[in-house]
Amino acid sequence: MQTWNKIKSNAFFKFLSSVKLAVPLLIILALAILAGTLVESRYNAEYAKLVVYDTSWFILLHVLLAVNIIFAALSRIPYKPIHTGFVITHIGLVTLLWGSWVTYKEGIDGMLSVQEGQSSSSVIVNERVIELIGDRFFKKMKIERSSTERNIDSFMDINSHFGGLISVNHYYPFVNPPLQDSFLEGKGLAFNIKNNFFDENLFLPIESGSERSLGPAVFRLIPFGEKGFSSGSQKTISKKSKRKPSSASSGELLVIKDKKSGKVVKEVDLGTVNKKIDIGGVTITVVKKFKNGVVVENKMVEGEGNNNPVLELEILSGGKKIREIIYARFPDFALGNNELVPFKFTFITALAAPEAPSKEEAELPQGHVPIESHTTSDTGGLPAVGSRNNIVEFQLLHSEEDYQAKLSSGQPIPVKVLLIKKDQIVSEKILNIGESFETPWMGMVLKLNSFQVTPQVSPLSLPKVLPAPELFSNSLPPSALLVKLSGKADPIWLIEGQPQEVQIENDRFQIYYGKNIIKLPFVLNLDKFSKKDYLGTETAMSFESQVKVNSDKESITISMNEPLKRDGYTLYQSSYQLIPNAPAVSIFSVNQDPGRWIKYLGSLILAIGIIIYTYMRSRLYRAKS
Amino acid sequence: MKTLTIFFLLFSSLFSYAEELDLNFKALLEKIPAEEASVLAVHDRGRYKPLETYAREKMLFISGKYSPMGQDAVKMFFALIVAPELTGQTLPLINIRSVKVRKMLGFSSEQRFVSLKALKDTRLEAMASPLIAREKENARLLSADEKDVLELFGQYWTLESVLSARGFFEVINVNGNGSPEAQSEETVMGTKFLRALNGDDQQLARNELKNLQEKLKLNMMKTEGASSYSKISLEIFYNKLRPFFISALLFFAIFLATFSAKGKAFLLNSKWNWPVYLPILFLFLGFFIRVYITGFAPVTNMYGTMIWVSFGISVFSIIFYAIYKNFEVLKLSFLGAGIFLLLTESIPLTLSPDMDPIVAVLRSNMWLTIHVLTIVISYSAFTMAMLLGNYVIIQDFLKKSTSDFNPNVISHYIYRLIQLGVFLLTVGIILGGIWADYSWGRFWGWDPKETCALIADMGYLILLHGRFVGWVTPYRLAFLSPIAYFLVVFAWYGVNFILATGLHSYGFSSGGVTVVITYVLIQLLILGVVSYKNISFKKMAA
Repeated sequence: MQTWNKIKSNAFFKFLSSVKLAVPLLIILALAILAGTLVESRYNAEYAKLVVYDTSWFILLHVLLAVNIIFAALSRIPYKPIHTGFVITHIGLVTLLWGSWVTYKEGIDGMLSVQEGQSSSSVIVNERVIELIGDRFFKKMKIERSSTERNIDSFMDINSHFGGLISVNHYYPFVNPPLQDSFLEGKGLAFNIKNNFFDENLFLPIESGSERSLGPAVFRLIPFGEKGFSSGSQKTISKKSKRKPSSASSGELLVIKDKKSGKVVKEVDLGTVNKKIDIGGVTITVVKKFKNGVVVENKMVEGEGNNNPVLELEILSGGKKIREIIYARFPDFALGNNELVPFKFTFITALAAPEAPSKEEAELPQGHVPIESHTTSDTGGLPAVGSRNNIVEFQLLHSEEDYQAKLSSGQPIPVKVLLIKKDQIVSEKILNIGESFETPWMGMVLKLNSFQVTPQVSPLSLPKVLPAPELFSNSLPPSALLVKLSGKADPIWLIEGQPQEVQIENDRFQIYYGKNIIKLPFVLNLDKFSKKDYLGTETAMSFESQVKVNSDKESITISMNEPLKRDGYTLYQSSYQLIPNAPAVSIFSVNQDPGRWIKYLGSLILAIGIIIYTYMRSRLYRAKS
Repeated sequence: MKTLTIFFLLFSSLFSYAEELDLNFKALLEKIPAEEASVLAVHDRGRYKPLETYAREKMLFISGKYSPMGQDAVKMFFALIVAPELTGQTLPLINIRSVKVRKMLGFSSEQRFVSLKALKDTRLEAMASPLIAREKENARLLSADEKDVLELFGQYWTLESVLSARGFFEVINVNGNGSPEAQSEETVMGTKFLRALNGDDQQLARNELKNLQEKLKLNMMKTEGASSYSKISLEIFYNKLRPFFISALLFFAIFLATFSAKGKAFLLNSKWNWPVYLPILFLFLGFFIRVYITGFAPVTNMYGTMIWVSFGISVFSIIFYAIYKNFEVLKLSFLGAGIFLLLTESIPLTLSPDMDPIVAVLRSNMWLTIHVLTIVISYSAFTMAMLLGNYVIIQDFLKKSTSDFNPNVISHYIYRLIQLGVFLLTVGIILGGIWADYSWGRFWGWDPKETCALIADMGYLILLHGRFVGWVTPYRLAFLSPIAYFLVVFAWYGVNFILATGLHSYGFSSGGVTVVITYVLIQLLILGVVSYKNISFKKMAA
């Protein structure tokens, strides 16, 4: 007893058990998690984990707190009845922290996604590994994802594990990976598609069935001389017939009014296209006229008939170029961002009466974003994403030899570009490499960048190192490693999540750096995924998956609150992917948590402790007063 | 005289709208059988509701008022459909809430209400269309002004859908298919009714309406069960009664009555102190009607939680009164409950009172309900502690030492309330963990909402520990309680309305910043003035 009292009166013991430590600790911890929350709202949850929640100093704070609580509980020995609530509460807290530690150390938390009709047992977990896979070689090492750069010194262990075959030289926390396509070697067509919202470089290799999809559009390449989309039987509106000057006759007017006063500033006879009009420093060029403007995948193209006369203008004002679309039948339906233009335009043509059509007749141009279907929500009529039936086809018209000859002699290289919607060609055009196809709608531009027929190694473009993720981005940019391969002078870039084939000392290897994938001891087959919505809305009321484990006959349902428990793992219905015309994908979160019951026990003890504490304090207070 | 002028101005502004309506439109409004039309069981946003509720929601969104231009929402709704197109388009119904947007569109900054036609002539659509795509991509990147433009665009289309009757046809068809081409029975009946409204035979209109009403009633009973239809009339009753508003007024009335000796005597001497229970009765009534109609606890948005906090305050204050017999605590708590309830009723655009269903994750079970209810009711205890804290420091500042006022006693109540709050909050957070573990397989994920609740909990724990070692004296506890309450405001309001990230996204909204900032400023002013005086008198140590 005396020794105990001696220990208790030790200054260090006193400090560790004191409230004087507890209060600053709580304040620091509260500030730290406040910082974490603010980082999360400014960047994203992954970044908050990286810079706050998963850091060693943050875990150290918790350890200190646990030590403080344990010593505080010990310092009350020998216990008196009045200590009951206090001791139980603090034992509960320590148990809770212990359970969290066990989960942190031993627990598994990952994602498993399965397509309908398929099976899988691969779980992607949130720890990074570096893997080297050869013919008769497999090695895997954990590697920490940190928010700061690290050099070779911190990879000693890992490098010695791989026995000198590879050595990690440097770690960059955030990189902007080079476009995957620039890694591609060999024959293909590189093109760019962009508008105000995106700017994508894509690459289509020259082979049968070469295809890429981007959003709602599919791009495909038809190799040398192969038969592309048959245009004979289809209704095609060729470029030439569009330019036939039946519409070039006079009687078509562009009326330019002052926006504020409504006065007519100028009336222009549209006898010729490409006429420039200059009004007070603003240059207006008539780019194109359409007899029946149809919008296909954000592009204005000529359709059949004279239903919807459209005028495309290019306006140069204050050094800025603005595109504007004027519908003859819908004078109010201006499109572009024309803040800089002080004019309102009206297009008058014999093909359509200029006055606004009555409500019954009013139909937006064919292909225009549907407005009707989205007005129920109070956020307004949000245009829907277009259908997936939009194809951009590139046809290589000549033989490979012809193209090679053209390439070597520096002649223009023609590629036929078809815009196809719902199996109908809506536009076709022959473009040379380097040329671009400007489409009026929202300024979408298709450009053919380069074309290569001789196999050649494209120069490896380097990833760009970023200081931090972008604000408000939904996900973290990948990290990257600089890895030196045995026998080679220059290190290679290894981008997170992108496996690479490499040659090390005459052997082929696959090298991978990224999230670890673990195999479940069983296989999950997804029979069916179903989602139930609230009647008349697209808000999910519930969703569930019908699965079978291994080759079991019995089907099991996993839904929001009915997880599947098997071999120590628990599978929760977490999310789903529903894409039209594609099988549904169900996403499960897979969990193994040995700390669960410790945490539950701690919670229970804590709650009981607070009740006892509160009750006894009030008795004490009443006894005093 | 000055007050009279202001009164007159207020009144004239109220009635000036009525004058703007042309006589034909007025006659049309008179013709609408609003009462019968109100009870149409329409299906909107995932639930059946009376047409009255639907019309009120639409009118509120478009014009910021339940009764635009002083007219009944249902009457206005149908009058807009059947009136000549030009009339509907030229009524100044759309409320441009942002002054900046008014200027951007070329209106004067005072021109709050504009017509659909006037908006059509502006660049609104051109401005909004690129924003829509960006909103889809990442709504958080939009600036406040851009969000305002989008909201106005939404108002524009909502009015457009009302005028074209598209909205009406959509909600009378259960499957949400309102296109006139789909000639459903409902559409045919609706068309007949609208046509009859346009004509002169009012009896015919009533008959057609009756047919439609019966049809919609059958629809509802088919999907929701035979007894469900009573909810429609109950909801209309609820809309008319405004129980929370009445409750707020009664809370204020009781608070004010305590200032007169007579009133106080009446409250204290009446049997069981029955007047005290009146506001609580209305609060309970409203609360249970909501629960009955929606089928879930009203804790899924800010409006619901504010009501639940008022509920908690009134229950706790009654219990406290029963234990400690301190009338001051009861009085202040009633003031708090009254303020909360009045707030919920007065800014419906920010605190949406709609009863529409919740996202899948919340449907599931009792765990969620208990978890949220426990956390939110802890805010009631903290709110009372905050009010009492202010009471102590203000009374002390004014040097009032009446027999009722003993700072140490009140400070002890603050301590007990904080204890209660910490208990409830801790248990609520743990229940949330268990619920998350049960549904997603993780106990704790540093989600902003749970993190901020934990920060608030830790803030109060710091106070309790500080008090234990004597750093926090009774006076300091009273002083710190409102400061710790800022953490509650952040967890409660800030996460959903300012940070707006994380898993608890169903409650996200915007607005109300003015109210919260005003509160924070007033609170800081009180704390500043009080501490300035105390520092100059070196009283903080006492």
